[in-house]
Amino acid sequence: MDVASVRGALPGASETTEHGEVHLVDAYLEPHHHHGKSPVAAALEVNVPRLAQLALDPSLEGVDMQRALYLDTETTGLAGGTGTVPFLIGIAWFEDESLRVQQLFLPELGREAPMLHWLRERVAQSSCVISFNGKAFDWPLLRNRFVMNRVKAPALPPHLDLLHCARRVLRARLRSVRLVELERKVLGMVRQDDVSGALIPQLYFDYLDGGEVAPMAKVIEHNANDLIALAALVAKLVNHFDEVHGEDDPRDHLAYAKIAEKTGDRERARSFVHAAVEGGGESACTVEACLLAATIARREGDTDGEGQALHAALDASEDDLQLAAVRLALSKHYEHRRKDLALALVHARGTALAEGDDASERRTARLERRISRANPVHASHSPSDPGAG
Amino acid sequence: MMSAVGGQPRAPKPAFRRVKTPWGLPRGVSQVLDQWTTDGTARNLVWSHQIDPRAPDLAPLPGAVSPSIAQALRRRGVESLYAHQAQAFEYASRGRHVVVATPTASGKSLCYNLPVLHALASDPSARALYLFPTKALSRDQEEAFRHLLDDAELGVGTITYDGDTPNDARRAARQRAGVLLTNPDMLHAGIMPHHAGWAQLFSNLKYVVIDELHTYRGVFGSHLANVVRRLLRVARFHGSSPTFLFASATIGNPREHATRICGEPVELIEQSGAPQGPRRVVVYNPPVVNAELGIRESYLKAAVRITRDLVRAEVPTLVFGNSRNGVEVMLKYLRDKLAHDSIDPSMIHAYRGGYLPDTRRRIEASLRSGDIRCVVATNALELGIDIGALDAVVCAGYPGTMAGLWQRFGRAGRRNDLSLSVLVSSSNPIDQYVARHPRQLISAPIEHARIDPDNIEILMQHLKCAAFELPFEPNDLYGDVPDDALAEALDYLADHGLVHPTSASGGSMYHWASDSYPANNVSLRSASWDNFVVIDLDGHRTIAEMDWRSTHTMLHEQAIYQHEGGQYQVERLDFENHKAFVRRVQPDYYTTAMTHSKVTVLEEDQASTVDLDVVPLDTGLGDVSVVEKVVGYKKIKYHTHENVGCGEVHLPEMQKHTTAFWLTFPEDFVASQSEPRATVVDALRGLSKAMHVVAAVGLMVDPRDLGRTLGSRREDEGPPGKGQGPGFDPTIFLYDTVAGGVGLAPRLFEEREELLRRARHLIESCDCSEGCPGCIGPDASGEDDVEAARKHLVLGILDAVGIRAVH
Repeated sequence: MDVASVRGALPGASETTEHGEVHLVDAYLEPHHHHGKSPVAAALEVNVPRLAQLALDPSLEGVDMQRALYLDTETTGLAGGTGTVPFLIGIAWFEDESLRVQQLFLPELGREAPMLHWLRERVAQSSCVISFNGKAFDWPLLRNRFVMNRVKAPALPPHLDLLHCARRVLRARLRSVRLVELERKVLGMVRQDDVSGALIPQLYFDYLDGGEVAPMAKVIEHNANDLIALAALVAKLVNHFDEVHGEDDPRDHLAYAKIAEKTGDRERARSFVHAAVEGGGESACTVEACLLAATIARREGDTDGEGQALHAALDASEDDLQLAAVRLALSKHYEHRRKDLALALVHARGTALAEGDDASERRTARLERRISRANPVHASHSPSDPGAG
Repeated sequence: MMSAVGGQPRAPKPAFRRVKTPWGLPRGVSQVLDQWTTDGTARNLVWSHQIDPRAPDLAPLPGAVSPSIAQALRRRGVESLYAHQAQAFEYASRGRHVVVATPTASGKSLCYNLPVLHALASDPSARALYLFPTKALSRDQEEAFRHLLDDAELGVGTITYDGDTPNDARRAARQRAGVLLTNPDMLHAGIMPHHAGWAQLFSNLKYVVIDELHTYRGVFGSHLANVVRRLLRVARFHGSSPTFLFASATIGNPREHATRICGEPVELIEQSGAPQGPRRVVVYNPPVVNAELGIRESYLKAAVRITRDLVRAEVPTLVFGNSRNGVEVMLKYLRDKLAHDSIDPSMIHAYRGGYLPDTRRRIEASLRSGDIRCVVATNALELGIDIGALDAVVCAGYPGTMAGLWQRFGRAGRRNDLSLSVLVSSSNPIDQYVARHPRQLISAPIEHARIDPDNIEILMQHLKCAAFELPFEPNDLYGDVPDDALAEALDYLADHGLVHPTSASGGSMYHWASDSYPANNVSLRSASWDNFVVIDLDGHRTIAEMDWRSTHTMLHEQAIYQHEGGQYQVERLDFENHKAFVRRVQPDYYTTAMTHSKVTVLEEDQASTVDLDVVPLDTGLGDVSVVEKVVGYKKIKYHTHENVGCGEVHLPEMQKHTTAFWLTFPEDFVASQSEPRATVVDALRGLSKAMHVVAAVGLMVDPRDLGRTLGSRREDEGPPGKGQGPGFDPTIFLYDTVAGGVGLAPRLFEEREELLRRARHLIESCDCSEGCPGCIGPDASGEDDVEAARKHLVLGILDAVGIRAVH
């Protein structure tokens, strides 16, 4: 009796390769396919240097997005180690404007070698790998599988891990940056009837023990959706970094500003910081954006700009902690840039929450000493008295 | 034994700092011995034995050794090898597994370091794995070995890989370290489940060094043997087959033990080529202070007197106690006593496992430099941390095994001068047995290290780990487990859904098929690996760590915790978060915990009777649950050792499953005795003590490995109190204290009649009249009028069941 007819048919078909049988699910998406509200093919059009900047990884600077390989695996567990097996290796790449999705399914434990060869050949043709948490999870696991199955591992091209990018951009706004959360809140996509990731290992073991095929088909669909989401997400994250989108949350603007600042792109940093300040929202975000604006101004030698930004921060501050941080910056600003010791001292009196009691007291004492040296006649006057300066 | 120094006499011992020593007191070991003959101490020396000096047996450095290695050795004063080191090199070069079981400080580490250095020099891609039982030991060895590698100009790294290794160093360890030092726990849970990432190590693994082999006994040893089985499987997968180099302290069966650990024949080297000065071994049995009760002077106090004489005579001395409490009590007494002689108390120091690593390092360094003249230790020093050899060793109490005693005695031994080893026997029965038969110390065989790698519980745990590491293929090997047994075990795991069988050519394949990480659920040590920290509330600092099991007896609330000669009271024990909060106090007492244990039979494997045509006794063997609970503590006054109070303790029970042998006296037999029930039950408890002594001696095991209790076989019946509630059959249980058992109870079951006869002989041949700590223990019934009949009663009971003495 045909087992498949009883269990139902697994999507895809068996392919014969020179290394053995591979169970392959092969599909093309329409060129205009949208994942939620986001066009998938937009990934082809992204500004690549901006992508490298977002990833903080110069090795991505010249990658050909047409040859990028999207990678996501489903595994028998999350523990890692040699006993964890990726039973579904999902890969996707663009052929013209269509995303081609190939999924290699392991119908029986112990038959990994042919699919690893398949993966190896595909990786060798790719300009980069794009994954979600692949640096810490999928790739080390796959590297183990190559060793365990005595298949030579491919040299890994540049690797873009979108988890790290998403964390950098979205953690301030979204508590969780799990892929399904990002899909819902960033890509505007709500999956229907999705399997929970935590159940996937058990569903596979059930399948191995002769269980039904339907749950496995769900897992395969889940994996395909993850791959498509990767392509949509890369476009979204990079495009919104390439140009300020006024409708974005100010916290996103601030996050992009920080990345730009970190990579020495001051102009972009200024635009995003400006958008963050203008965008309103919570005071914490505004204050931080103003402080960042001040830092950028200082680095450029723009003392007036720094001062304005700091005073804007002071105005925006709503609690003592924010105030203390701003006054610390202001105290330094007046002491070192403006050489206005009296004002520096005024602000130094409110920095304890930001730098600790001891440091704050030392700062105050030092400023008092400098003031009394500079102006011995008025040494006994309160230095905060405007007349003393 | 960190000493890499081979065939050269050591540098002259450092002069001790001259402190004011009373004029006219003797100096040196011989003078102390002379003093003891004149001051009467010698009257209690029940045995004195001289071990002859031994000349060095040297061998040239093997010609194959590269000039850079030879130069590195010469820089350490090693011009030639001792014969045993040369022999080890020769075996290793031929790829033979070898175990070196020579005495302490005979240069054992060079026996394994030299072949490893040679292998690294000949093949830069070669790798070696060193296993030490503790983290501290691997850290010690790493530094010494790294210098040796540098001096030998070998461009390979060495790294300690344990829980404290930082992440970036871990990456380097995987890729580049030529020599990896770790412990079995880390190999088991941190390295082998990720072996694919360690391909460099496993595919070039030339040597596996296992030091301190003697510590791997019982459950820990059985686990290690399985870790090694897995290691060999993984190494085979990566294409290597390493040679094992073992080093062991004195045990009775080093070759057999090493063979069981690695599963292949092992060459034995036990003849040391290192020189040895003359050694004197004596046993001091403290004087009897109460003849009727057979009570002797406290052995702790006696050991302190002996040690004081040695320290005053400027003899560098190591004192071993059997418990942490004992160590701290002796430390306090010694400092008090020597203060009278104006000897700086800081020259006397304690050393034990609970100390933080920094403190331990400091003590070791001071001892080497001579700033410390006497160290009082638990067995922490047995684990080979290097302080060199000392002039005298005093063991306060018999450590429980001949092997343990000789490992401690081995710390005394100069290359040329006379050294002294003293055993001060306590009043506990085993000690008194040894004091009465001291010749056994040299004539009796040394205890064997016992393991059972095929213990089904342990085996199954490791098979899971092994399946996680590599799928089992048809005809796969797992140590020497027979094919059919292996297949049966794997099928069992498959039935439980942990592995997934598939058919392959030639049989079945089994793949790990669970989303768990099995090594995390398998602890190699019976005690929890998780330590408690002791926090001083006044200083807000951590002063010590303690293992989970000891916490129950030493860190319960109100306990006096003794640390470096100071006393602290435990104010709060945060059991959940593993913290004990203590505060410095100055009490005139210390505390000892009272533990209650209860045995419940879970499954009877074998049943029989002792039937000598009089009263038949039921006896059996099977799986039991042992529940131990600390129920209270006693306050013991310093110096007088009076019991000055007690208190309750509320702590969770500790439970384990093990195997037990039992012997039941039927209720009607108890009732038929002329004495009151309480007295009879107490006599049976006395008999169980005597059985415990002869069992431990007869099996040649540490008495702590064998538990003893008197109770009922039926679970619903409570432990016998003072004999109030009738209606239960008093049962003597002797059980393996190691969870799961290591095979002691079955041997007692087999020799049950002999055991009873020997117990009778012990009781009859004891000099006391009413029972003493040396045989059936003192009276505990609390009824004064029956006391005189107690020993007689036990013998009467044995008569009644037909047990006659052996002769």
